[in-house]
Amino acid sequence: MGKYVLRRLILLVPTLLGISALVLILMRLLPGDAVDVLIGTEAMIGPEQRRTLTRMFGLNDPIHIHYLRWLGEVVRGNLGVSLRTGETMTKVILQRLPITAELALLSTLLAWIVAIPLGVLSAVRRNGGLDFTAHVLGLVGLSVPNFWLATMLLLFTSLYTGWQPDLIWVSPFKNLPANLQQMMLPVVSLSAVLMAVVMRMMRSSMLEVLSQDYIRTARSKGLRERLVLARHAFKNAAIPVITVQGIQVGYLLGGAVVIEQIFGMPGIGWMILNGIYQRDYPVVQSGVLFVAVAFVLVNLLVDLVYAYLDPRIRYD
Amino acid sequence: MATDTTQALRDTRVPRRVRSGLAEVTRHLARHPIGLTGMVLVLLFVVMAIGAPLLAPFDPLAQPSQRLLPAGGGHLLGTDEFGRDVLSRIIHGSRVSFQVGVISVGIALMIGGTLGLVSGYYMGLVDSLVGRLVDIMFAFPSVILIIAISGVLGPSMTTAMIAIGIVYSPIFARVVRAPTLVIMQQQYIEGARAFGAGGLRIVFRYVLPNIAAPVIVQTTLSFSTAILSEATLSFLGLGTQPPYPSWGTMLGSGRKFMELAPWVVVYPGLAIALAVLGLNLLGDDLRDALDPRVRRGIT
Amino acid sequence: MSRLDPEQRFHNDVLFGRLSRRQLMKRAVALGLSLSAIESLLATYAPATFAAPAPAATPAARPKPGGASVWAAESDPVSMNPITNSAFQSTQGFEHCYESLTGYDARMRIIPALAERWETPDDNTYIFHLRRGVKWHDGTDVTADDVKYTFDVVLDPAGPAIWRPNFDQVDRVEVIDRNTIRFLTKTPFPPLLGAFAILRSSAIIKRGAMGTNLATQINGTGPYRLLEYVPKSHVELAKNPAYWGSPLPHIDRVTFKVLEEEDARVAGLRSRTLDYAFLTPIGEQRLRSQQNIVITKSPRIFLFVFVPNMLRKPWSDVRVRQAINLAIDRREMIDKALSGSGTISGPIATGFGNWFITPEELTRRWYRRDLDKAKALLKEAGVPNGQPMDLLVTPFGGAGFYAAASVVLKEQLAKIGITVNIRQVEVGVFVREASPTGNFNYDMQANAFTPRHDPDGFLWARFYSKNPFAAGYNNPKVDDLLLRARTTVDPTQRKFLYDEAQRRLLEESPMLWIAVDNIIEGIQNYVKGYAQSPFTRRDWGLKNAWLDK
Repeated sequence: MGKYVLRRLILLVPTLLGISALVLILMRLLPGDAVDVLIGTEAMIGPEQRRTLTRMFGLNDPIHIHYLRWLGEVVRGNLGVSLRTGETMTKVILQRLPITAELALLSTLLAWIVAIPLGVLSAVRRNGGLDFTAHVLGLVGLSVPNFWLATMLLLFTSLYTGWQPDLIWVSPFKNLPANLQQMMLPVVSLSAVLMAVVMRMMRSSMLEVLSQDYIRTARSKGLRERLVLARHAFKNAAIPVITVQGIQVGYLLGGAVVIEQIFGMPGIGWMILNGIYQRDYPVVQSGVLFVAVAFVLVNLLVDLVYAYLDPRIRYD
Repeated sequence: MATDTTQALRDTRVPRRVRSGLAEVTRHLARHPIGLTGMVLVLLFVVMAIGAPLLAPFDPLAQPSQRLLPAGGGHLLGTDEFGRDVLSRIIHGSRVSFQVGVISVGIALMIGGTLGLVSGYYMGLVDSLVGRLVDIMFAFPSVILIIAISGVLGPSMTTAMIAIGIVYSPIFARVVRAPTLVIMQQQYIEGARAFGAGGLRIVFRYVLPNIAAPVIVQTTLSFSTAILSEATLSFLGLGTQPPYPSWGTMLGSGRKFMELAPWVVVYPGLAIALAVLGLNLLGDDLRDALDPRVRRGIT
Repeated sequence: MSRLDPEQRFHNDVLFGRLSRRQLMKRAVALGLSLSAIESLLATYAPATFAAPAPAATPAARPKPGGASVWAAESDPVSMNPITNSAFQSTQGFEHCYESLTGYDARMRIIPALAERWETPDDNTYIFHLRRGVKWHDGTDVTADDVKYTFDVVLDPAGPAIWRPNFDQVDRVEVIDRNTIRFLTKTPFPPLLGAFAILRSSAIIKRGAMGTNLATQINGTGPYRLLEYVPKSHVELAKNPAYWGSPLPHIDRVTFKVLEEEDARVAGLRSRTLDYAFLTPIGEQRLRSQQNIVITKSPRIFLFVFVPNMLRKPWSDVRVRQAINLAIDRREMIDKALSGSGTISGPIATGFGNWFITPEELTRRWYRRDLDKAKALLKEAGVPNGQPMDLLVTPFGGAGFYAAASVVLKEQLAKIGITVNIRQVEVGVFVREASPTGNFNYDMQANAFTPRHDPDGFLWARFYSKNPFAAGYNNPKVDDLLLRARTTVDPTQRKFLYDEAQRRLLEESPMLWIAVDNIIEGIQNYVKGYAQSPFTRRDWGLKNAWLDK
């Protein structure tokens, strides 16, 4: 097992190298650079001034030097400095990460709380009214675009209720109730899809497990139904659900980009997007790198948990 | 590799050679109202897309009336911020969604499918390399990649299709790879080779028919997510450019008028939801129809 | 130094606002100035065409000092660096902390700031006497050396000062003594005083400051100190107790929250979390019924334009441009792209002093829709039906105008057989393709003039043929007019020259000037003393504001 983990971690390196190279290539391919963004649509500067500014931003290196220089810095733990604001990326990411993380975690939590019991119940009471409703709801949850859901929720609250979310983000450490109140709508919008996926996964895997021989055996032994369900069925059914979590990180980030914009939350998704618009290479490079690392590590964790839970799986 | 196990559980099933004739499918649909609803919805939007110029009461780009009118007076769903008919724009928007779905999934299938086939066929080093490439693509946040590609190529509907197509390829690569691997390891392949069957023949005769089922299922699923991706891109202003009607663009540019004229955002979103719902219902059902043992997972 | 003659002395007195209206008229008449000259003076140094709304407080009320206030910033300043900033939004970030030699009051009149008085011994010399006892936020004294240092950086032809062209006629800057500094210009240069006030690459920084992190830190002289700037999040300001304009400012702490989405600003005003927010016409409509919010609206110097690429055929042909001008309906654009909140404008923004051509004359002479004539002109110029036009647009800034106006333009030009293809790109690409320093890869672009400090700012760079940014426009008569206008000190003469120049430009349409919009601001009814500025500057307003609670 240890060797497996080690191998996966080592494989992380070429993956990250590939990603960061890809980011830099794409960014350099984007027409316009940070100096252009700085100049803006009105000001007019001469070629010498432009040269000075380009040098100030360190943008006149050819791409391979640029990449190697950046790599050298990263290895030393220096993620670079934003071209626009001069802030260190480490500081910026640490500032913005908790917001996206809170959004992602709360969405996942909400999804589990709602979807897992729903999935189990609809598997147990198969083909009943609950099952049908849950099935349909699940499909609806998958189909509704999260930004539309967010917009509808905002519209609904502003038109029909007296209450409107504040839309000015407040840290949970400064004011927890206000923060949770703010996070309500974004979390619901983002978690709808997750709820649907988890519920469907839970249901189908539960169904599969329930039809297995060992469940029949347990039942025939006279064990109480509830015990059967809880002990044997659920534990095994939960396994595929956990594996689904791994790929959901990708969805969470993608959704976060739009949700963060709609609700004015200063998170990482929006940071990266803005970095692209402003050609702020260090922002995009470090942001994407960070996200990729998180993605791969979460997947690794998921696979390990999976192996722990399912004794049939063995990694060489 | 364990990752395959994980992945396989999620999106591929090793199929038996199931004969999935059209007749069987139709019979199945008739018995399952959910799938039927899906089919109906999808057909509705397909008809909308094909017949848009005939069905839409107004030219989607024309600005005939006052802006932000509520429903009434010839405008069944009201007008938008330019005085354009919302209903006509929604009908024409289905064309965008349809086009994007078909082309981007087509691209993904071609790129990803080829990669998966090559990977599964040659195995060994080729497999590892392709696997690495696919891993990189997966680990890259897809929204960011789509946005970056759109930026490089210049935002437009075409770029959106290409970008989505590229980003969705890894899924198809994986869907195709696992069954290909399994099949290539079967005995009858060796036998075929002994008889002088070349690579292409093997692929066409043995591999393709067996991967048809998961590929079809994945296609439907990806079609629906492609529509969502295009909507997200357009919402951010990076996909279909104004003034062309894409449901996502309508939502994005109409958002600021939301409180004054809710219909500008309610209906386009509803259209997206219904179209995607139809596809999901259909896809779900197809999966059941093409492989009744799908819920078992692999043993 | 030559002695000032009476006329020069009069001009100086007018320049730094020492005269009341009556005094000005009396002396002007005594000097024999014509009525139109007097009118010009009154307008330039006291733009009477603005009906700037009365401040929210009753004049008799006494300001209550103290308190903390949260305001909304509608865009992220991005950087607090006053030298390299170019965007309008950055000025809005540091305008409360940095100052220059001159400033603006709420009516955009030039007033003394760091320089308490100045004189012009001759047309090419300005001597500024710095206010004594002004300190930097770090406690050290402000001296003429700081001014010299700042302008060494700004005037460097290879330096990073984006708005250096605003000072292009400055020859050199000399320190006379600790509190006196001399600017020598190559020609008479009337835009100079405004160039300081507009705070574009003109804020005075302390000598040696270029080595510090100017992007997120400020060591200035203004009424507020910068406590913290977190990009995309907020700007935190605290009252400068040593401000030379004491007892101003009144409010102790001000936080500007960066809220680019109007939803958030509207929600904040409704819930009283925000005391101030900039609004679009849609926001205005949404908040109309709120009792506790005072909404003020007035014309703003923000001129929206379409710029054809005159280096390309067929846009280089004046007939084609005139045809386009005859085909567009500016009123429709204002209705649909600005929600009706705007006024048509010519080359100099409507409402800017008295320099502009009146909307009445514009409508009468050049802005009349005539599709038949337009089509005839196109035919004459040999433009085929269905002629494509690549329209480059960026959604950056401009309150959503560009994207919407381009859609309207597309429909309007379709009626004369021009097929517009809208290309919406992000700002970096836009600058690369469309800015005067870029590739000129477009047929038409949507752009705007943010507030300029001088009429010269609307015309010189783009229409003086020898400028690299004039790109394809060459009219010797206009050249002559513009050159003379920017080196003439007498405002009457200038007005005459600019009127002539504008009329010729309107004939030839090297640019399509559409409209100016309105500035709309919402403030809580307990905020008093704030005054709206047509330049969307908030420094004067915030400095004078106080909380009545």
